Amino acid sequence: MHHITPIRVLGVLGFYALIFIVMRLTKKRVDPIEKKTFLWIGAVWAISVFIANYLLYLAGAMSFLPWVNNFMHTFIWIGFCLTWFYLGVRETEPMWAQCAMFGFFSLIVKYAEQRLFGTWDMDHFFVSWLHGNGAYIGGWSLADATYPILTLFTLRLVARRVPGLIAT
Amino acid sequence: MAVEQGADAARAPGVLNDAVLTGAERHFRLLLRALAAILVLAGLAYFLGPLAGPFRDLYREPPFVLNSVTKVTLLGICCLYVSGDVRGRMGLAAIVIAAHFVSVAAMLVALAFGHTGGAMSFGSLGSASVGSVLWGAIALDGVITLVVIVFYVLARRSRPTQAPPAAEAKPQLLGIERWMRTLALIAGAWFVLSGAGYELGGLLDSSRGLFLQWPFVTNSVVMSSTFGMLCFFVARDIRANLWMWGVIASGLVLSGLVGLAYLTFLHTGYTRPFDGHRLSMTDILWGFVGVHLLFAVVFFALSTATWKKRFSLHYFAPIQYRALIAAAGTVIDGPAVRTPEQIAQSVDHYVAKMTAKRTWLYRLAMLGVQFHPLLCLKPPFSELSPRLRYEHVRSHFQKVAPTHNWLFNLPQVAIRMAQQLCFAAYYNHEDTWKAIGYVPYSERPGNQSAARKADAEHDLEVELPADVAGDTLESEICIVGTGAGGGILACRLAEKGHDVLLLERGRYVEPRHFSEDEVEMVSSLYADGVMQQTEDFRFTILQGSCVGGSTTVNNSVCFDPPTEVLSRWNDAKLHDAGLDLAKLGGSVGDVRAFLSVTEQGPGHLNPSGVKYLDGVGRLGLSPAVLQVGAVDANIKDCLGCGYCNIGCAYGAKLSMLQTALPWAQRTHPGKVRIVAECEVERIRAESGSPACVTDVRARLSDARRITVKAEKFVLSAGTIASSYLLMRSGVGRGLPVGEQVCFNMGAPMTAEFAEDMDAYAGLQISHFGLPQVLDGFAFETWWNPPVSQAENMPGWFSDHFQNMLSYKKLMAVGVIVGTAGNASIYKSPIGGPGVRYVPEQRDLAKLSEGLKLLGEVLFAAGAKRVMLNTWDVPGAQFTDASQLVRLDEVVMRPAWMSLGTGHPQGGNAISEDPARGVIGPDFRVHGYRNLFVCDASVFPSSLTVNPQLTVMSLAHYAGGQI
Repeated sequence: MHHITPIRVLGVLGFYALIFIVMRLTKKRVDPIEKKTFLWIGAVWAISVFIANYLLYLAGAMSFLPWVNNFMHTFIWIGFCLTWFYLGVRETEPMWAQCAMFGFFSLIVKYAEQRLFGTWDMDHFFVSWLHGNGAYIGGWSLADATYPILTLFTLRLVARRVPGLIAT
Repeated sequence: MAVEQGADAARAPGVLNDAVLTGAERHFRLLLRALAAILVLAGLAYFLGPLAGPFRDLYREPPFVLNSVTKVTLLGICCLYVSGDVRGRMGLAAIVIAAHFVSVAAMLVALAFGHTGGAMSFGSLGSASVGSVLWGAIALDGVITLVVIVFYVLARRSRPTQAPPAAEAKPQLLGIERWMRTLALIAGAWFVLSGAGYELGGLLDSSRGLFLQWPFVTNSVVMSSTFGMLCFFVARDIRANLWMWGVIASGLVLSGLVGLAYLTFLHTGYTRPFDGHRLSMTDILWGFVGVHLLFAVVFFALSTATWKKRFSLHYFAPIQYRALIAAAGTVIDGPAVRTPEQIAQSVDHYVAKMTAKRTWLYRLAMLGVQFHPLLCLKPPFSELSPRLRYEHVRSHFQKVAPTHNWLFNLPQVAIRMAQQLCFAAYYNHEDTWKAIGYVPYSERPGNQSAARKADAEHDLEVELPADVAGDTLESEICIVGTGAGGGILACRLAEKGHDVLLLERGRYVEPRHFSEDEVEMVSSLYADGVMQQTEDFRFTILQGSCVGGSTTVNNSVCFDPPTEVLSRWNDAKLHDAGLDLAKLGGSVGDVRAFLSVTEQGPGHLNPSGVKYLDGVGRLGLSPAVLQVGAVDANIKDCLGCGYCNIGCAYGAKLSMLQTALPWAQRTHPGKVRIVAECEVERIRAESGSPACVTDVRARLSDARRITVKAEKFVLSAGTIASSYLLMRSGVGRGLPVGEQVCFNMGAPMTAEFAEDMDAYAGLQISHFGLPQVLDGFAFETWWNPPVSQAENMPGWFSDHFQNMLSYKKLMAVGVIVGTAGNASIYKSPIGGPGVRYVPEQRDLAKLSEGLKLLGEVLFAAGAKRVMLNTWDVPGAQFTDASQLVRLDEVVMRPAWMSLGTGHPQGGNAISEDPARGVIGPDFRVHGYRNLFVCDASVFPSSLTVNPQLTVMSLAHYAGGQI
């Protein structure tokens, strides 16, 4: 049962904002030369995950994310916050630490969305033996922990064709 | 009386102050080790009992099973500790015996007054009454007690009678030690009362429902009593027995962990009656775990604080520090001018002051040294008697043939690190210098140190992190590194009117602050450059890390780039470097003139060089075969102090610190800016064809991160750092970044003569030898002040010190081999760059050939013996030229040799072809518009000779194109 009300939406946005304040410690601003890279990463992630979430729901691998939640999660959280965070940590942290941080932040955001919206509610993660809602949220958080790796390699590939990206 | 006698027993009397053990003591030690093994296995069996196996029904009460695990393991640890020093730990042996007495007594009381009529299930084997189980246990404990007592008494009686030690005034305890003593007394009382409580619990009707299984209850009695006795033992002499906290804390932590495992894996959701209430088994178990872990945490925190306070520790944790003290007492076999405690204290201070990032490896090494004996069923290293430590090091570190598998090398690496640290502290002391006959330059007759040492401020403007405002720096050209390449390049580019900003990772140490303190100077000037080793820890790569780079700490030896090497570089079929050799030749000449590179005169040469030249002459090696002489160097008015490798305090070495950098600033005011302690971490480049570097991100030593913007960027950070920076930035993917790395691989041959050489009193490298046809190797005489020499001196224990005692009569000549480019740089999983390298057989053959020729030269010069720096391989010492044929056998197994280099080259080779090189003939990284590399990393192959002049000349040459 989903409970998406304006107050709850504000609550989730507030939660994003709180985490973003922490994330912003790693990078105060996006340099002008990085804006194009930021937009590319953010847009590619947001659009692809927005679509993937719905397709995975149709395939039975995910619970339904209401459109508002899906939009907020993919465009604001992943597209904006995580991309900002990625640009902040990619230069300074080793890959394992980046993955750990992305996994952790994803976990708490999904948990917050579940508490406030009642979404992310499924009793298994892909296979029946990974049962329980904990496995579902944990499993998708672990999948999100691959964000830095996927972004790194995808960006390198894209940079071969698209000039002006900072892929180093 | 049988006395332990071995070939080694008489070998190291200097190291080992403890007497050899008697036969009875050795038998007692063996018994204790066997008992320790049995008890630890029993602990494992108890632990697994409730989790798996056929006797699960027997282990019904988890808290008491947990206590049983702790009891047997604790007694096992005690036995292990006693076996580490049988003579010194008889008190602990008595506690082991007393614990067994308590066990028997507790069971007898249970049989006399408790309800022991029930049955205990042994699964499919059936069941037995509690009484019969207790009688069986009494018999077993009785036998163990009897045997231990017999061996204990025999061991005590066999000890030679010693005069009682003179009564010493009791040391004044520190405040925290008094706290620890009070805590030990309170804890001891608590544990003893707990033991009594367990026994009573089984006897009283009100609690019998909880204390169900007598054998496990009596085990709990013994566990608590043993903890109690250990606490009282500690309190008896808190200073002498503080080490025993290790035993107590191990037992408590183990108990807590086992409890947590039971809470996780066992069903504990039932209750037990106690005094009219029903207690949840989960709560009871949490209670046990909580109390034991709480005690462990408090003990650990207080004992750590006590050790730290007692030894004023700055860097090492107490457990690592104790390993260091033990190692110092083991590996150093010289006169007791410094106690192991003093040595360890000096090491702690030195390491605390080091700026290197990988000093944590020292901590890890100490932990390795400390706990390695556990794998051999011995207590930790510091808890072994000095003799056992010595034997352990001999059998597990010194004698084991090393391999190229890093995992198997770890134990040896750990002890080598410990040894290096101890040597650094021991040989950096004036009393040791007197013992080995070394005289520091400032105390040599006729020295000019006072007259020449420049006390004036150094004429170079260097910004430190505190001087850097904001988070962005801008310049026209940014050069990463201030060494041979960066320094000359800065000069050239400033000359052309460019604004240049140099970023240096290392410190700025003014020449007036260079001292004779080797350890302090190495810490300041080399940083991580002194800790670089290949991934198998068998090959050391030294590099300076300071303003001026390696030119500040090298020997300033200059060789023109060999013509045949340059021809190979330019060969289109080989490297296709595309260099304009005529222009490069001009640059060589210009640099020679710029830095006053000249052949070094006789006044300050290494005195031992005469012997070397004499040997060459006596052997009849004409210049047509081997060209020899004094080296060319950018050194002027040298005093011969012998401190080239720790910075020239007298302004004689014309390093970048002394010449190019200050001259550039002076000649081109405002054009050359230097920021020190600023490590470039990443190059950022915009994609495109070609790509364009927008800025570099750097980290200052005060942890601030800055962005450096420029129109052009040049990497001159050296083979390892430049390659690593490109790799970690993802620059040059598809190019052979970090590949084709090669070295001038060096192996010194040390020779002893009858007369004094005083090789320390002169240039560290003063003479060379080059086969007329450059045959892949070269000779260079080489000597060091005591610490560096000790680190490179062959031998272990007394052999090492005996060699150091001959310090005045020794000289060394190194054979340098230009290796194949089969090494590579990679991103190490432990952070920073890693180097992968195993010498090729062809290079080793060259090395062997060179060493044989060199051995003949040294014997011809009158050497009594010559030695190779190996990992204590038999046969690496020679007393006659005819024995030198053995060299092949030793050298061809590189894992046996202690090899190293100060000349890493390659990694970003220059080539027209992007498949073969990272940069083109214009020094620009292939595919990048404004990124250049100019240092030794651009060499397509090894030079064989010292690369400094070639690097500088290439920088001069590149300066015309960037």
